[in-house]
Amino acid sequence: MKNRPALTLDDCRKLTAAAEAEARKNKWEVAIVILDDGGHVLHAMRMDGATPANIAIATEKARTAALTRRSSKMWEERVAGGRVSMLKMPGVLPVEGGLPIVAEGTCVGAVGVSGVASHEDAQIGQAGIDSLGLG
Amino acid sequence: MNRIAVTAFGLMLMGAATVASAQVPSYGPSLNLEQAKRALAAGEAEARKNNWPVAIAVFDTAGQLVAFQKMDDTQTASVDIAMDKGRSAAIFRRPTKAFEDVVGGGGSGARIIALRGASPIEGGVPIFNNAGKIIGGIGVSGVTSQQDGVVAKAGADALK
Repeated sequence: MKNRPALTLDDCRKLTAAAEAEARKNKWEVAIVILDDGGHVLHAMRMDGATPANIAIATEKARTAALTRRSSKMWEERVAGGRVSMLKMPGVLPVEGGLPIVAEGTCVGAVGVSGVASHEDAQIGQAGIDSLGLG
Repeated sequence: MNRIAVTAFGLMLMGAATVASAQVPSYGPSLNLEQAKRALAAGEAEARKNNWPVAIAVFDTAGQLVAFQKMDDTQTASVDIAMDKGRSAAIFRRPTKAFEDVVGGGGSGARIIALRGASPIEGGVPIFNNAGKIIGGIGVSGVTSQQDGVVAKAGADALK
């Protein structure tokens, strides 16, 4: 049998704290959602001022990244590149801001952020992932 | 406007099901993230004290998620169950145990199962502020429903 790494609650807290700090630094109010590699929620938070829709969008961005093992931006670019049929891909929200979390070469889950411009959402998510020092 | 919506909802509820006492507390302002984090931390402390792996979900008065966390080694199913319980407590303004008891009483009490968004499983309670107003709901899942209820209460009590 194969052993694979998994996100702990402490990892989720660390990631979320770093992401939240990045958002606050820029005075951005967002929702930050972390899913495991099966697309199940491990951790979620909605900053004051972010909307209920942001939680749903962040979750769907994260689910896209967790289940396809690719950033939601990659899907956005494929659609923008003319591959409109990708809009029918199951479970894919093709909007930047969902990033897979890769540890030891394995996707262990994903983080999704929603609330500001989608490249800024991704910046927040990346700051969170960077805090885990996965290399 | 806010008051009208809440009253209309209360009447709808009473029409759909006369559960527990007719005296249901009013909504206050929705909790903020800082308060939601405090409820999570208090619930988690209670869970850790007992070695209970649980998922904890905190909702605002609209039944919208504000904060969520799943402790290591919590069963996957508890993610959705904790959310169902917490949302139910927030939007029906009563503990899920109240619904559980009505269903458990048998007979026409079974109709609660058909109430959209109602969880008939202990482990979800409204969160009150110090003025006795409901500011959200907290749902817990992972151990027995009675134990889930203990964790939920600890979380909610942190904001009283």
